[in-house]
Amino acid sequence: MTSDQKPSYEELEIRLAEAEKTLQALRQGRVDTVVGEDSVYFLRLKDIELALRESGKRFRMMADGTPFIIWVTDSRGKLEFVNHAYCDFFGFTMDEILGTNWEPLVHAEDRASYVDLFNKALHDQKPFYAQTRVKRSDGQWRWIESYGTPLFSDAGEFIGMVGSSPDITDRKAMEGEWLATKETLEKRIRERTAELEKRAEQLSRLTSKLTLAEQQERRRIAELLHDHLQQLMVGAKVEQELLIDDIDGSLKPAAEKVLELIKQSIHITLSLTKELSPPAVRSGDLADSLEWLADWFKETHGLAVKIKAEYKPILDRKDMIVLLFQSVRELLFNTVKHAGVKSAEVAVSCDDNKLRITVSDEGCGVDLKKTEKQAMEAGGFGLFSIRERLLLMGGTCEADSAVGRGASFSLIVPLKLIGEAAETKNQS
Amino acid sequence: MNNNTTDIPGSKKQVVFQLFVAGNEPYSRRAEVNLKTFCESRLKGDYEIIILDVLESFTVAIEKRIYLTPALIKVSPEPAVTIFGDLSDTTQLVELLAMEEQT
Repeated sequence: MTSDQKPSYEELEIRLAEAEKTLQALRQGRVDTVVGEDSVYFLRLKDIELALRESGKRFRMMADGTPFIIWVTDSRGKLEFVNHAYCDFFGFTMDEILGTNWEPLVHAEDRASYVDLFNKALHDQKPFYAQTRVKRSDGQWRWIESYGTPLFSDAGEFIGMVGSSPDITDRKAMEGEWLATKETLEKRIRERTAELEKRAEQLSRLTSKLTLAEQQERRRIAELLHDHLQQLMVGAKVEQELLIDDIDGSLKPAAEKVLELIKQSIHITLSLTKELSPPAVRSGDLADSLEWLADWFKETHGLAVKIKAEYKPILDRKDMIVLLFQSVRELLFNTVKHAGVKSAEVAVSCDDNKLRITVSDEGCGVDLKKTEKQAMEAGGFGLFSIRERLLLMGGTCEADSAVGRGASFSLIVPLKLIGEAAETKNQS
Repeated sequence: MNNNTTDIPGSKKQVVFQLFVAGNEPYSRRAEVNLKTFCESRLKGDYEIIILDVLESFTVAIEKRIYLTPALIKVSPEPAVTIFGDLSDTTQLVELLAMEEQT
């Protein structure tokens, strides 16, 4: 077939396919010349490379200026460009590494998963992320973390991946150290906490023992008074009565006065015995104990105490009832001493699984800070002591007062701390 | 001599290539080396390569409608097929040889 003949349709199709193939080859590069109708046109590789260098200069400068490993692959995953950091790290020149298979650089144990992830990203044309060990030029195995981003041409064609692979060995080691430090600290905290809890428990037990020891001491004194002193006094009274019968005249009034004094002493001893060891306290009945206390205050100090017991627990724990009883007595003493009133109220209630005993009056009130300071300086069983002991035994104390506004003190104890009696709350 | 068969399908006949190069241009040199390496390993000597330099054989290139170098025409077995480039992608060459069976 010669050129002046009209080409057939098939011939045109073949030519078109050839032209397409030629254009494609030109686009892909790796060609030296274009053969024209009249001449051969050289596509100088050096010129092309120079042009490429110019266009890619900024990218390369940037890539080579960073200490991070940067790489570019073509659409098949073969290395097309790597930066200085990459070459330095692996100990290759750029010429040695371009177009080669990078997979052998990856640690054998990590290879399958790393390469799979890369190939999947390449296939899906999606971002790539993976960690692996690689052998550095000095023979050391290092951890790297690779981030790849798919590259697309202006026409939207997938042309490869660009990525960086920072060395994270130090970070991984630090993470490990940090985890170890954290664990050690947590362990220490656990140990300290356990120690503190133990100490708190010891203190609570000591407080309980102290309260009980005090009460035992009171009881012992009460018994001494009752069994010895009182018997002696009763004996003295009998003797004195006999004596009065036998004497006459001017000595009689004095002897009768002595008898009266002995009777008063017996009475005081009796009341002291009860005060030191109230029978109701021994039974564990809180409401009864408070009623007894009200009577006692009325009798000895002229203070009318109204007991409002919505809740009447029987306390299993001896130390607790003693502490509560002593505390209420101390608070009522305060009313007597400072409030300047003749009446007070003690309310017993239960809410939110807590026993609450409130002692209140409508007296002149107190400056809480001043009172506390004084109490601390004075020592003894004051407000401060009440609060401290309650706290140590797991309860709390609330105070509400100001000068001229009355006073209200609440003792609050979780029901679980007062033993089985908690079940009786529904009886109220 | 044709009985010396290889693993390439349809290559019972001797394979003849025409490789169009341009002087000592780098891709042309590379194409020559790549083609020879491929043929040695895959065709075990049962081939012929005719090298044509477009700077000398310009008219042949025009007649064969070779517009770029390096270019390779598989002349035999038929059909004649042309590919361009430095032949670094061996799959292209494998496909080129397998072409006969498909047609």
